[in-house]
Amino acid sequence: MNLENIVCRKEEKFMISNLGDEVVLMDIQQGHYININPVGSAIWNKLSAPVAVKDLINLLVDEYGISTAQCESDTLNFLQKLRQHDMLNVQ
Amino acid sequence: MQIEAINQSYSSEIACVVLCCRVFIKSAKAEELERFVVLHEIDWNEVYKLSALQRIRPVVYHVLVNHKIPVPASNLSQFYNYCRVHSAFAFERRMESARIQQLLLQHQIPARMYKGLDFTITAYGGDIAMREFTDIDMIVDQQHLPALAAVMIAEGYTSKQLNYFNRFPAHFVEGRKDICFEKRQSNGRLFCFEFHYKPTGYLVDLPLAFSDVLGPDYLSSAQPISRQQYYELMLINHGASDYYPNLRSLIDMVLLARDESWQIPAVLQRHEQLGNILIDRLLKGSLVEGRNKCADVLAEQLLTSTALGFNKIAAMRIRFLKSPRTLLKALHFLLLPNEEDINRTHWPYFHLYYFIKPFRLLKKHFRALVGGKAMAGGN
Repeated sequence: MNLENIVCRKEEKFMISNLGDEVVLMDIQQGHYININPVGSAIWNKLSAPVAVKDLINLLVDEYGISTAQCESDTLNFLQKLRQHDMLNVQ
Repeated sequence: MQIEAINQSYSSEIACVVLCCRVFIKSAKAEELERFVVLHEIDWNEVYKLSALQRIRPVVYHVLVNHKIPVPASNLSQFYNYCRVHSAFAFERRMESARIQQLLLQHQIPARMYKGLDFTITAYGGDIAMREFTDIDMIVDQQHLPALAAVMIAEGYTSKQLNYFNRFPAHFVEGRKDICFEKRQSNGRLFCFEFHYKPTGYLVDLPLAFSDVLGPDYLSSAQPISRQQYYELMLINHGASDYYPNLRSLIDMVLLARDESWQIPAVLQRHEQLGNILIDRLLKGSLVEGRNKCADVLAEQLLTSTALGFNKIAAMRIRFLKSPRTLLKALHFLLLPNEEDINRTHWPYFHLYYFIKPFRLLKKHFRALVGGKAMAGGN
């Protein structure tokens, strides 16, 4: 995955609920329960419509006031995890 | 009712819970809640307990976290732990209900999701864990009950009512509104299904069937139950049957109505009016409060988080009586046997159980009386 990719969350196979500032999901087929922490949940909530990874990172840098390099590394890491769990569409 | 008046007359904890409800439905601002929490000494264990009694822990937690209200971490995690378990269980119940619905359909038994999960999706913006619920409710046709019972038993579910239903099906259907099945999962959680074939119990004086609210194709319709239909169903359930037993029931009505005004059946209008008075007083903090004896009793019960006693329920039912016939029904209900009587002893005819029930109730009261005296003596 790179900064030019367009990403969007994959919701069809999950039941989703908001637990305060966290998002919890259950994989309908596998029965797995997934808990996303507050920062991950903030990213998840920004993925409801297709967005370029670089734009997503810019949004997060503005919102959390962190360095671009740190944000890029953490966000790409998180997006990779979503992809591994088949929770992300990547173009 | 103003929050400070609730605080003065009842407690700062119930005032805090009510204020959380107001923030949730947006009739109060989060700043007001924050200010209240800062200015008053609050026992957060009590807030948790009251939220549980009012069945609104997810709502209260949602408000506290999303508005960053200063709550001790240990108390917040009490809410968090409950909500986490609740959301996982809600997901599991949704999967199991879909499985059972599909299974019933394979046996030519149409069943429609009702209340609980389905209602939460409609009223709470699709988030099934935002509303506390325990049972999985479905609407079925009473003619399918024998086949439905066979399917549920084959799936490992049990029912305390099965003996009653199998032996006296006509009496069962007349005396009850639903049949319940339960099964404990390997993880210890209990799935409880309630299959409703009519919307009201024996005592509720309302001549309404599911077809009156949902239309003649109520079991086969592909359309989800609309907000307006749910509004009527919940007026029947929360209002006419249960007399708005907790703050959750009031939040349900507010979220369904969303300031819309629907033409509802005349028989439900008094129940709607009662609900609206309670909503105005408790959830909207109206300064102008109409006088209403029933609303006074119910508001007191809600703010003290106590259940209505037998006498108050009886008084409430008498106030809502449509005809003297219902009073006779109420007397009949007192004698009407239930599954406990049927399971206890085996008599060949249903009407013989009419003699058993008063005896059982007297024995129960006598035991309670003796137990109470023994406890008093012990002190």
